[in-house]
Amino acid sequence: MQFWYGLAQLIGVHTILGLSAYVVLQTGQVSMAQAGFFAIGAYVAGMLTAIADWHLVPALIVGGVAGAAVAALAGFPALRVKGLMFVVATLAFGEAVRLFWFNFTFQVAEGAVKLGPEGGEGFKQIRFFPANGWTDLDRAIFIWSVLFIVMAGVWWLDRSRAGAVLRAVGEDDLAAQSVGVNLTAVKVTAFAIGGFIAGIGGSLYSHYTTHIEHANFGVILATFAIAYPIVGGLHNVFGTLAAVIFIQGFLVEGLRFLGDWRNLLFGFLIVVAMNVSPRGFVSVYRDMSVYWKRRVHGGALLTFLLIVAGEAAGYSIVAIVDGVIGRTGLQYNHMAWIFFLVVWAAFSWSGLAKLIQMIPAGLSRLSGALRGTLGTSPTRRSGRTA
Amino acid sequence: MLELWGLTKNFGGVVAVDALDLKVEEGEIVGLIGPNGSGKSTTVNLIAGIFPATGGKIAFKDQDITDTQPHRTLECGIARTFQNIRLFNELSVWQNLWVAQNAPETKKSESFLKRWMSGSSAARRSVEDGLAFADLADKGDELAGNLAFGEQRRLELARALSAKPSLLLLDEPAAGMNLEEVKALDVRLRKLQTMGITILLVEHVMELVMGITDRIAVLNFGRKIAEGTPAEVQANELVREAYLGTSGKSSAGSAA
Repeated sequence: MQFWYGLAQLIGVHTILGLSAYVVLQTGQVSMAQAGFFAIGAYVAGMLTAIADWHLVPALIVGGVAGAAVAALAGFPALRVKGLMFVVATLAFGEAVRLFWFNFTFQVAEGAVKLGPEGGEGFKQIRFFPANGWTDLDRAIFIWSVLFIVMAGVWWLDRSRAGAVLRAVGEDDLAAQSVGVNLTAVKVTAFAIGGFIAGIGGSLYSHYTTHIEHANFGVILATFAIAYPIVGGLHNVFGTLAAVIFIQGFLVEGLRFLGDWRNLLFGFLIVVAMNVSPRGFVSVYRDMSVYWKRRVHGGALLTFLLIVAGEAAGYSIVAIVDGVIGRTGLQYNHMAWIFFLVVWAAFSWSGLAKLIQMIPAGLSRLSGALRGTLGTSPTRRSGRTA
Repeated sequence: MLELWGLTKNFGGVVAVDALDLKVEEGEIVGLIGPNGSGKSTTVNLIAGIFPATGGKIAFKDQDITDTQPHRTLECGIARTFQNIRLFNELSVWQNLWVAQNAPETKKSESFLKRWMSGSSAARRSVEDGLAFADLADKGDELAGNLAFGEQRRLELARALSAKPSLLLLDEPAAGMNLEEVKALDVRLRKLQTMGITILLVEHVMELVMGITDRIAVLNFGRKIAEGTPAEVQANELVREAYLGTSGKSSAGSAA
């Protein structure tokens, strides 16, 4: 069970990281700096709770704001370049942030222990969770609650006019400019929102691992951050979640039984997954948008309810899986793959959406059949033969 | 209304637009024609602020707008369409118009949050008006990329009008259209003129240009070689030479 909660926390934090890249990707920018903003949130929030004795929630927000502020400052020069040059610029910036923390020492002695980051040694003793007696389940629920707020926020952004503007900029920035969109403002705003979300994710990360060091925030993490939304699809936020579950839950954890062969299969399976769904795992966006295009607020409310329902379903699934493992002796790996197939089927267009489409037809067929057996609707029967 | 004073643009060593003087009065439809590569599109891009001018001055409503950013020129009241259609293909028709609701008065009348989250009801009404203008009222939910060619042209025009411009720069709006579509465009442009919108029309389709414009300026190698009413321009020797030396009324059209 310990393992499960740990995995849930990891997936939650990585999804937040992926969503931060998702927002920036909407404007057509591939940002390799998300791990840097993630690190800033992690260190800032860690220092606030460990040294200044803040509660986690305000520390989380300050961590996010710090990420956003740095992102906005970095955004003005970085967004002057485009395409590959932007990738290189953000990559360099992310590494600069990592090396900053590598050289940063700020320690306060509290009794026998010294608190605070210590350069290359890292930042130990971020003990907000254990000190306040939070169980693993508490932590997982807290992280997923934050994730769910972030997801709802990004979804709302997606459905709003601002989201349409972001997508317009991503598709053709010259045309967007020509219809009156201030490119610099929009791109920097998107970058700052991304920095804010990454900062929040980093704050959660440092608290659930309790020990961070500069090496946690390298290029690999930055690559994962942009891989999640791209593998999951840029149509809506659920794609990123599905991709994190796929990559972290199934490729990283689920294939652990393969030993060293895992790394070989890992990349191969990502390629396979992207070939199977080239537009990302989740491509229902368009079909949903037909219903929700003009009812932004209603859509947001509906989304809110959907996410709540999804969360409830997620927790029940965890409980059920746990029960199945306990009773049958199946391994986590097997369960993980079964779960993944179910999630993929449910979220891909050929799964849930088609199923929903079939419901009216199925119902009318069912009612037709019922009427037929009851013999109350001769006109309908003749209509059907004609 | 729009005045170009010695407008010049060099791309490396190539002079795309060479000391161009042009005046567009309010309410006019002015045509800008010339062989391929004569600098028509460059002129439009310079006015819209896509790239900075090498020299010269652009004035709009007695205000210097040389080297203004595109979204700022739009705020001044200049909207444009593109030679090769540039819609947001992955957005719906409705969203294409929604994104473009950037008229200064719309911006002023809304709170920031309202504007960015959902757009005001005025903006939404304006989107519906745009759909009606483009005859796309029943296609609001379709992706712009899935529209037929003529529909995309109409949508781009409607999108440009969303900002309630006083000057419209049209870069070959009739390219690739059949005769019937050109006629419909003609009607649409005359309607815009009655609404008080001034139009600078870059076009190769002479049936449209000769019929609708009040004045025509002819470019060749970035220089203005002639200017006048359609009849005057058609009679001009230099213009005939520019169009491959052929003569006659329809020659300009076939050369294009």
